[in-house]
Amino acid sequence: MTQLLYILAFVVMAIGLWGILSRRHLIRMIIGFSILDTGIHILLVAIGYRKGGTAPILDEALSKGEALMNAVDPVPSALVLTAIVIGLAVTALMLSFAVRMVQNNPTMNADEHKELKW
Amino acid sequence: MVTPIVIIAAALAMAFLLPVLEKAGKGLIKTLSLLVLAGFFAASLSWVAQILQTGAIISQTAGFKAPVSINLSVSMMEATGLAVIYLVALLSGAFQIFVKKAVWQGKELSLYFALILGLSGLVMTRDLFNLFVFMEITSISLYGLLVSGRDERRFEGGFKYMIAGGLSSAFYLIGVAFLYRETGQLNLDIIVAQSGQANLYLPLLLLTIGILIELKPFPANGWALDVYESADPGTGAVISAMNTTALILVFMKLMPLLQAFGSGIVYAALIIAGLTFFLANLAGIRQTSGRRMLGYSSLAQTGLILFVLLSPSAGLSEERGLSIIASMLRLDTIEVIALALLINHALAKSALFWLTEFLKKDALHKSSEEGDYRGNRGWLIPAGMAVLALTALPPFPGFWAKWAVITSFGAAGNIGGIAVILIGSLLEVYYLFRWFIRTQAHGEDGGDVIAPQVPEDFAPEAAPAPAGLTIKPAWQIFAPALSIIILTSLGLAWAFLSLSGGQELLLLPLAALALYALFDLIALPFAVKNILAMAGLGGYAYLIYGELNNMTLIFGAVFIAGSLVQLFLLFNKRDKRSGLLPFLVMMILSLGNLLVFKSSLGFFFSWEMMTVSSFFLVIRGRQASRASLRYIMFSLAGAFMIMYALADGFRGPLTGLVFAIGLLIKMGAIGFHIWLPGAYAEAEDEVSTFLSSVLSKAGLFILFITAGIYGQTFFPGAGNAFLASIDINAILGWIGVITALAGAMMALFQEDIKYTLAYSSMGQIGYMILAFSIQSHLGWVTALYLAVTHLLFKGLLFMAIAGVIMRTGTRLMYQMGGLIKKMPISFISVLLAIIALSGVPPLTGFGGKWLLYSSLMEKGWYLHAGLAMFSSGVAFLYLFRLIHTIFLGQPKTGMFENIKEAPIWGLIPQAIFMMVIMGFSMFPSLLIKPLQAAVEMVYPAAAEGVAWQGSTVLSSLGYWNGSAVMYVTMGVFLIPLAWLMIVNGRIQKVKQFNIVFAAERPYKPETTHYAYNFFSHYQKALGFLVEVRAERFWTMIRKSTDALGGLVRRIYSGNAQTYAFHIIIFVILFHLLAGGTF
Repeated sequence: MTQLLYILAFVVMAIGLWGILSRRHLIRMIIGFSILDTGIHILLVAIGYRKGGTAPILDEALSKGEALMNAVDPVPSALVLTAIVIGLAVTALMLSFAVRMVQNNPTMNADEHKELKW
Repeated sequence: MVTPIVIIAAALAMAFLLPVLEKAGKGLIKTLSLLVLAGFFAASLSWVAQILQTGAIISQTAGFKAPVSINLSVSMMEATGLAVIYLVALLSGAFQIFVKKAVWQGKELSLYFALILGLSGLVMTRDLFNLFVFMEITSISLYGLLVSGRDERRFEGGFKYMIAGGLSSAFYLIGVAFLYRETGQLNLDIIVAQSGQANLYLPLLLLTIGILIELKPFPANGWALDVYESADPGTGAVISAMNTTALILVFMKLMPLLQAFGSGIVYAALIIAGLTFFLANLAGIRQTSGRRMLGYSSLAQTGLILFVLLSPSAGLSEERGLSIIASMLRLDTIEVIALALLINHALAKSALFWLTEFLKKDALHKSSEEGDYRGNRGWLIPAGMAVLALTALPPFPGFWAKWAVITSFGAAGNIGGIAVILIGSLLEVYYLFRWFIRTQAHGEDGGDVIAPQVPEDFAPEAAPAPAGLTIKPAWQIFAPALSIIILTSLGLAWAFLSLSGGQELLLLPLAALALYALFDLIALPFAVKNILAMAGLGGYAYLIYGELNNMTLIFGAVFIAGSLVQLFLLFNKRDKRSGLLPFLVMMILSLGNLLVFKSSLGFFFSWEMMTVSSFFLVIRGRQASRASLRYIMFSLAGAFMIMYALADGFRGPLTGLVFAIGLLIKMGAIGFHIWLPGAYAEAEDEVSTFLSSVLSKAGLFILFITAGIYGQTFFPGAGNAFLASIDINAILGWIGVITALAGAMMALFQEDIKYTLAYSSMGQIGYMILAFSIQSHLGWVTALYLAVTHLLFKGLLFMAIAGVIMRTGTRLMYQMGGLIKKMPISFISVLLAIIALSGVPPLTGFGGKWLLYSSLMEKGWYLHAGLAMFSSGVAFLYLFRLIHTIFLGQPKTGMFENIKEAPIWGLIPQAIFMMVIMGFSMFPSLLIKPLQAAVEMVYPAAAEGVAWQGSTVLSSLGYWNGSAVMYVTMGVFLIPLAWLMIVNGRIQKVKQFNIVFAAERPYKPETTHYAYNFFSHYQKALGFLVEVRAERFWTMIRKSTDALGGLVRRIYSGNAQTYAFHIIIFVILFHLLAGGTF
């Protein structure tokens, strides 16, 4: 199961990267980024995953000792939350920049936005 | 003292509060922002003090210890690094609030504080995931700040930045995930402490790649250039100075981890850093946008700092200042070097970015704009100093750091490292100085810096316009100015620490620069300043006199007494001439310091100071752009070769050869001479005389005191048999004689009088090199004799010609003529000088030639002697042309009818030199005996050489009695003169264009003037000898470097996807370099 999650994560990341590198459309490139981020999030979650584990909430049902044995690692989950928020902010900014780029030069084709070079 | 967490909290609070407080008043938020920024800077300084007492400051968050919560740690490196960041943040904040047309409001300031929060966190945190969060905070706030520009293209640049930033954080995050998987930890210290049973290669590779992409490595750095070009200069400064500094500190934080678990990664990063430094500089030379060029320079400097940090041998230096600073701050030497380079780059580069705000256009080439480029004059001083700092010239911290690095590499035998740094630096020198020269060029300066200027026009030069620098302080430049002042003070502090062991004297040129600049600032009359300059030189001579002995005394007389006399010439000046005396005095004092240095660093420091000051003298000329660029390029190339030889400690014959070439470049020997004519000729007329008669001897002096290393015996059994068999002296001899011949030949065909004199200087230096290379008593006496007499007659010539140019307003010889009656004293002084130069009896030149031929015969160098004789003949031709076309014949009708003699202040120094020449001619022993005493230390006179009989000098080949020669020649001269006087009555005077005797009537008689193309017949016969081969060769070098640079920059296609692809290539390349497989 964990292996499967890793494979899934890398497939999603690869799809995202492929999107960034191969799509000329600005918005599609940004979507590529979102997909890449999603892949990384799956990877993080997969690292914390424990087969047959339980939620890492310490209460009567789960003592400290049991938590070490059975609970899912809570750290990657916490990291994923942060990463998702950051990814959202970056995506929003990228979209707004793309809008301004298109206002200056009305085309969505990344090839045509090459005023700065060399 | 505040704990580090307070900074984070305060920055966060500011970021949230500013947009709210803005409603209460714009003044309020500006004041508050600056106060808080100043507070940050003060806090970082207090940490430095605190750490010195108690060690690193560690603050735990949330009341738990490290693995459970995140801890912040500030040790000395972080505290000093943060001080740099906060200092730039303060200056940059002030600049944005007070200077910009579109000043920052609450919105931008809020983002700015978010950025500072991110940067502080990056530097302080020890938690790897937390590092990611701060990286993103930094990036997002930077993206936001990018919006606040004026350039329409900034969104395109920003978008590319986001693509790169997104990929970099993706790699970093995957790296963190894997690292957590392998170690179960996110805390840096704990991971390092856990011994490495796990294989951390992949996580560390990804982690490093994530950080490195943000540091803009080759080839994944095209996006950064686009951002630098399109962003507001203020934001450019923020990225280049603050962001880079923080990320390098992050990288340093990761270094222990890399060294423990990933040596392959360290190696890969080293290679990439070196490549980035070199290739960014190579591509930088092709830039037409100033800001993009600064961007390339930023990439290069970042690469350099990483390269130094990662080189295993970069911190070996035991340089005095470095050791003192290291022990004072309790840092490793390598950390001090990195810190110095960081400070140097952060302050100088941000100053330059801010200064571009004041330029009318962000372009480099004359063709791309109209009219004068100069704009605000107060701009030039900080801009020039920032360029000096970036190119690692003294006294800035970069100079000391670079010296430490190069000598460390030298000690470890890391020749490749030295080559990368020095060649890369030379490229950077080229584009930064070209940019600076372009921005300060005089309005009359024709065309591009690179395009050749042909000094051939029939129109007289326009009325003199004020050339060079005039200071007009403008308060708007306070931020860059302050930044440069702080940088200079730090550099001076280091200089003082380095030289305090008995070489304090070497700092005097800087003191003189400051003092005489102050006199300029308070607008003292020029005459007063000049008297003060003379007094200063006198005082300096008195100060060093005790330390001089035979050889140094002779050169001391040339450098200081020779200059002192020529200073009289400057009394001619009626206007202020700001900047002339400070650099002139600085140059002369630096020359003097070459006589008294006590360490190789002391020597190199003085040598560079001499180069810098003379560059600022050359650049003052009205059309000196091209000449000054060539001058600085060749001077620094020579200096870098010397630096290499010093660092290598003269361990093999190759080093001796490189050192000699470095000196030959500075002396303008054949092949390297193309800087010389322009520099001497295009400098102001009063400055040319100093350059040609005084400065040109510096290389010769160093040649003398290092004479030992050019012999075959100096490196016995040194490795390579071929190298050991090279006789540098034999090479020097040939170079000397060819230089002499070529200089004379080229002087022959110039129309411009100053070019004639400049080429003539080149030829004379050739004689000196030739005489030096004979390596005998007589040879050395000859070389010294030539040096002293060259000072006299070339000074005389340049001063007399300065007067002529001043009166006639032209430098072209065919436009002059018949001035003998108008300027008789100048005529006499030129006559005397050319007799002394050409080597005909009775004046000193004869002695020089006699000694030269004698010593060459003695050595058995008959071919050299023949060639030297031939070049003397050629010299005689151009000297004849000189006096004939200027003073003889008839004055041009209508042009020079109301000309007066040169002003008295020009004649006084000439008179002094004439008297000295006469004295030495009558009594050669006055000069030769001290020279012999100087030479005796190395070559005793007993075996060969010359003997004395009264004042008659005897050599193995003959004798020379100066007084007798004088009397005989006088007789030979006076008898025909008397006869001419008698027959004078029969002369029929003809007007200039009275050509009744000829069979035709030319349409434009002026173009038939005999003085134009005077030696065309010789040019037909011998012109092939003076075809500009050297010029063509160096042009080829420049063009091919240009083409290479063009090739490199082609990869930055401007396409966001290509840039993303570069990042992928970078990752693969890095992985392969690190020794990884697929």
